[in-house]
Amino acid sequence: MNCKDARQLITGYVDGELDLVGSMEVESHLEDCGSCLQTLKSQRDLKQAIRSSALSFDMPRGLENRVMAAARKESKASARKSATASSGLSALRSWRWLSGSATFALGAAVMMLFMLVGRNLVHTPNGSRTEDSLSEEIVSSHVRSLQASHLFDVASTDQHTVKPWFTGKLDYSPPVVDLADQGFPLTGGRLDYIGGRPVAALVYHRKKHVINLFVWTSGAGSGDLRGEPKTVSLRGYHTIGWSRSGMTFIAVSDVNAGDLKQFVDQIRSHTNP
Amino acid sequence: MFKRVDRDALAQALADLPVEFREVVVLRELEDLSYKEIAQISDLPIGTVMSRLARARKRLQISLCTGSGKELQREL
Repeated sequence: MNCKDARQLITGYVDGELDLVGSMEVESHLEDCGSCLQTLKSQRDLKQAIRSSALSFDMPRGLENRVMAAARKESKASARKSATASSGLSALRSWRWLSGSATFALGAAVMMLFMLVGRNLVHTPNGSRTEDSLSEEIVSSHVRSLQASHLFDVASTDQHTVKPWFTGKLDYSPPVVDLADQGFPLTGGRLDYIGGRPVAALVYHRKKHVINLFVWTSGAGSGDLRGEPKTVSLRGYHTIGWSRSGMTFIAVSDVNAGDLKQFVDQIRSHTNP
Repeated sequence: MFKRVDRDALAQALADLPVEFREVVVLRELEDLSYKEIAQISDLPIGTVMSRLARARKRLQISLCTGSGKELQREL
């Protein structure tokens, strides 16, 4: 094997993608060729650098979870086991390439990934979340929950079933209230991911519209939502967010802004400590 | 050789890559997909995935070398 041929294969070798014959040919060439060995080492170092550097960016973790959520649609059972693990990468391995729609959804998620990788790796200096990026993520998460038929991990109108369901899955207990009398029945809940963290998503309905209420413990990355609830409208969806007593809430829906505000007012008055 | 790569330089080098190269790098290094999976997602033959990755890595090494002022490494 000459250097030219070896160079073609070194990438595959470094990634562990060569078959046995190819690997052996490359290895035997490398025994005699310091220059190609150098190429190999450079590629390995570069790979390592990309993986260790990129994984510490906050934004790509959120994106990684988006791709993970897209995969979860098609392989719920196996992904569920690893969905709560700290590394989402094992969930990706359990994809089954079942249908065109899975690949499409994945493709869409991946496209989102590169556009944002391109934009945010350069522009996000120290991992602080902007409100826009949080709102984007909330709306995307909401839309995905609708498309995926993955609205519920627990489907129940009973708050005494939904609230305890989160025990052991989150390190906090989200307040769950039923507002059926006010026209906003609780329909269930699920575990979702925002900003790289598992969060509770409480699902309410308003006539035929879905309202997702995301709840998590306040801290870095929640954005500054102290004070009066803050409305952000994005792509036809309304989000209203607020923080109180150490919890951050964001409601998102395509219902009109007035109805969503009514929902938020009801939730706030029922969760007043 | 890049023992400790400057994170910003790496981010910039990645952002500077043409999208078809950035795509394979991200799918491989950040998402840990196999060549076969990348080929399916990107609708490319596996051989193309490998050669694109090779070229993408070469370009990144050049960006990073140039950026830090080191002379271009011979094997590039």
